[in-house]
Amino acid sequence: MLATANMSSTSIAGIFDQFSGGDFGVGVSAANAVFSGKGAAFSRNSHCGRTFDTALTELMLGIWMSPNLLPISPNIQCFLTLANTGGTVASLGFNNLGQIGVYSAGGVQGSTALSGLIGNLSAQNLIVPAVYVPIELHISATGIEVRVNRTSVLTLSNAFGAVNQLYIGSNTSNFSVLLDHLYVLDMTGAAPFNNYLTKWRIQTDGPIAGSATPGLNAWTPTTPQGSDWANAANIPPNSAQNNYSAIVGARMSLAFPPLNTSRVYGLNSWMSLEEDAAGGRSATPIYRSNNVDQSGDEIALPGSFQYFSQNSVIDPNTGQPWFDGSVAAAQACEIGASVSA
Amino acid sequence: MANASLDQLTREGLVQDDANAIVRQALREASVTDDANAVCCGVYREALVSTDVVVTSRRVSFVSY
Repeated sequence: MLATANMSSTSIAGIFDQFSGGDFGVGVSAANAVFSGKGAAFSRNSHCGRTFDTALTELMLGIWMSPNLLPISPNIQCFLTLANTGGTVASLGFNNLGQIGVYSAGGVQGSTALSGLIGNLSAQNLIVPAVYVPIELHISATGIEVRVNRTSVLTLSNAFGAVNQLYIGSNTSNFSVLLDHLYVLDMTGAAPFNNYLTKWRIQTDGPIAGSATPGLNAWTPTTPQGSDWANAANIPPNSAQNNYSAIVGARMSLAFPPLNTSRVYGLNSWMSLEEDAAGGRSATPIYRSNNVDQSGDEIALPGSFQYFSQNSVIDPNTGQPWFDGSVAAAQACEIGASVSA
Repeated sequence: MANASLDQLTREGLVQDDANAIVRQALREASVTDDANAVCCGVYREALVSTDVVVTSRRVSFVSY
């Protein structure tokens, strides 16, 4: 799992590193969400993008999309572009008939018109105004498949080059799209790999309690909240209400609320972290399932608060994917951090 | 050896102050580092879960705008 984003301001600010356009930012609201939480509105040539750490020859992703209108023929409305160093590899767009297609030129990253249709268009009426639909794609060197509403609508055998950038947004000045619940699978982990999630959403929660393990609530909470979990539960974060520690090895481990679902595909954590004096303090995110820890990548703390994410697809308690375990096990997993240096 | 590694070794007491200039620099940095707190003001769990509901798209017929 490369990333998830429920399109809250937290996940957008944390995941994406390129932003452009007028409506981004103010477009993040509950009114734009599919289920609950928040969704993002992109209009007037706005987009956000992310450059990957490494170029990927294969990836799968899914996103929920709802357009405000269908474009007027012959315009094509683009909402997602996979690129390599700025150059479009594949853009997804739809036309006035609600057909979806894959295009080799143009995209949301430059607010340019789509051209170079690859293969054929999908059936009509797959995309309709003001209705959220889940759109998934699988791209590799041997082809691309596009699924809409969990049904395969395009299968192309064209060769696609590696991609190192993902852009979402709107490439036109007149239309807007709502986007929510993004997942990206990078296919670089150990087999067996994930397949399409097909029925997914992303639930974001703040903590509701400290650790059940004595000694793992060792970061000092500020008042007035007075507890580590309450300080960490502010959405958005309140920088004045924080937990801190300068003791290497000190742990902060937090418990989270139940998950109302039948399956958990993976967990992702977001933390707003900093160091409060110049130096080289580091922290390491830790998932803790049934008292078994799973440490993430050590984070060299910046001098001002920044969001950091760390995902988990394997239950450290079982060594098996969260998907193969119980929802109860996943929702009981504590998430926290250790002062690691 | 990278500076970061020297910094780590210094804090663990594995590198002495009689080393070269780079190590002494790492020592000075380490002495400052020890005063810094790690600070956290928000922790959120993002769970990628099944919707458990098949959303049926409203298929409508229209030609153009």
